[in-house]
Amino acid sequence: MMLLYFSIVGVLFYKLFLKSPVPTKEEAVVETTKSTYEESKAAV
Amino acid sequence: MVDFSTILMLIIFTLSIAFMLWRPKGINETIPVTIGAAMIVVLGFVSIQDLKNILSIVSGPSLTILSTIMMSIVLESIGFFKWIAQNIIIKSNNSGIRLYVYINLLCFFMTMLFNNDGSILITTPIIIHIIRFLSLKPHQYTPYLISGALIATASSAPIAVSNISNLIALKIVGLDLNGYVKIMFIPSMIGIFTMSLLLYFLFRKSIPKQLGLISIHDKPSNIFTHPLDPSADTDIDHHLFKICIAVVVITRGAFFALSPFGIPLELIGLIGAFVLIAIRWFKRRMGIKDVVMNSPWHILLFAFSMYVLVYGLKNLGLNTLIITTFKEIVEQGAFNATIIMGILTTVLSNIFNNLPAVMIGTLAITEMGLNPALLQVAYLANVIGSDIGSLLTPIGTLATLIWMFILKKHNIRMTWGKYISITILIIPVALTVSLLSLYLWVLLVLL
Repeated sequence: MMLLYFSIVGVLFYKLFLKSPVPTKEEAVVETTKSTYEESKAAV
Repeated sequence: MVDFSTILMLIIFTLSIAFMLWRPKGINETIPVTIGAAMIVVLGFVSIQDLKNILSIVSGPSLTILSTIMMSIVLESIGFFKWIAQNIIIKSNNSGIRLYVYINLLCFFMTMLFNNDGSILITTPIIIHIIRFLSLKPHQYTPYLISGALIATASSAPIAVSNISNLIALKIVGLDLNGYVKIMFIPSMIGIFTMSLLLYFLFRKSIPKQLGLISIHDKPSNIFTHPLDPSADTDIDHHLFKICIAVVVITRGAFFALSPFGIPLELIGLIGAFVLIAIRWFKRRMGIKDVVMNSPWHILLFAFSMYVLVYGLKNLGLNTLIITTFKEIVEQGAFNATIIMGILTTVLSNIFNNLPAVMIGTLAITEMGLNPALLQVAYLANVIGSDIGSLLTPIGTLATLIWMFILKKHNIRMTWGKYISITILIIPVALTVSLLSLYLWVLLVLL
């Protein structure tokens, strides 16, 4: 029971205080699609 | 008739506590308490056998609390708290009320995951830095500071592992962690929720609606450097943060899951701390030196010496005085036991600090000859008095004294009068609600 409770506390703590409010470098890379990249390359 | 020994013991006790609270020239609080304890051992008020008993009672809880402090030192060194402070400002998104909620939640969670003194030591500089960064005026920042301190300290009541005095008292009455949580979690959470609501209604006009300055698109690392973190250029490693918070959570859970099998809490806590140190070494190649150097090892001696002082009072009859005065009324039932012991510990805590107060109260009830259920209720009322009632004055808890000290160091004026003018409106109500909730909850689950 207390393991479950602390798991919830841990997840909440992470989401509230540790999860980045702005996209991190890794997330920004994930968001870049191939087509956007190709479009940009073509534009250049 | 009070004899000479009793007067001498009372003088030593009073002077030790007075110097512990006063801390002339910033001396460590352990020094006056240890000198007082040594004097009463030399004078023969506490025997060698008593010292052995005391060592067996206080060593485990002290090491458990020390392990949580070690964990916070490791986290601090990897930029964990700096990152939290930056996130709070950005996630508040210009709203003063949202910032207030975030700060209160942070203080609550920090005490849940670490301990009350550690929570105050970590969150107060974070809050100070946030209010300085936002250029808040004194009437605007007072709500953040006071509510943070009160919530951080009171949040040690729901689970016993967040407060050394709760752990020591737990051992004296022979209650286990799971038994404690079963009875104590709901009433103390109701008390903390009541306290939060009262604080919000009291401060709602002072909390600024708009903070200005920050938008969610600002880069967190550009906002500020946390004063606790000497390594301003520490890289943020989200993967490491995730692993670390998982270790902290698993350690907290293991306290409850493994202690019923007879595994000592201090062993679980120390293993958790060393796992964190090992992970840090693996990821950052940082050794153990900073943890060893910065850990407050003196709390082992502090808790031991404090208990020696309390034992001295017990041996000279203070317990007998409490027992003869309150036994008859406490024996009459759970309601009387809850209210009387809760108020008694509150009064004692606000006279000479909650650590000796809860020890005296707990030793007294163990000698009242109460049935096991009533003994547990009286003990848990003691804990509520010591964790929530003690917040009435700055003397009540070491955490509040540490908080006042940090504010002073940062040139923030917080007089005793100002502190008490707020707590007098909040604490008596929160204490009453907590004690009544305890009584009603006990009727449901215990009696």
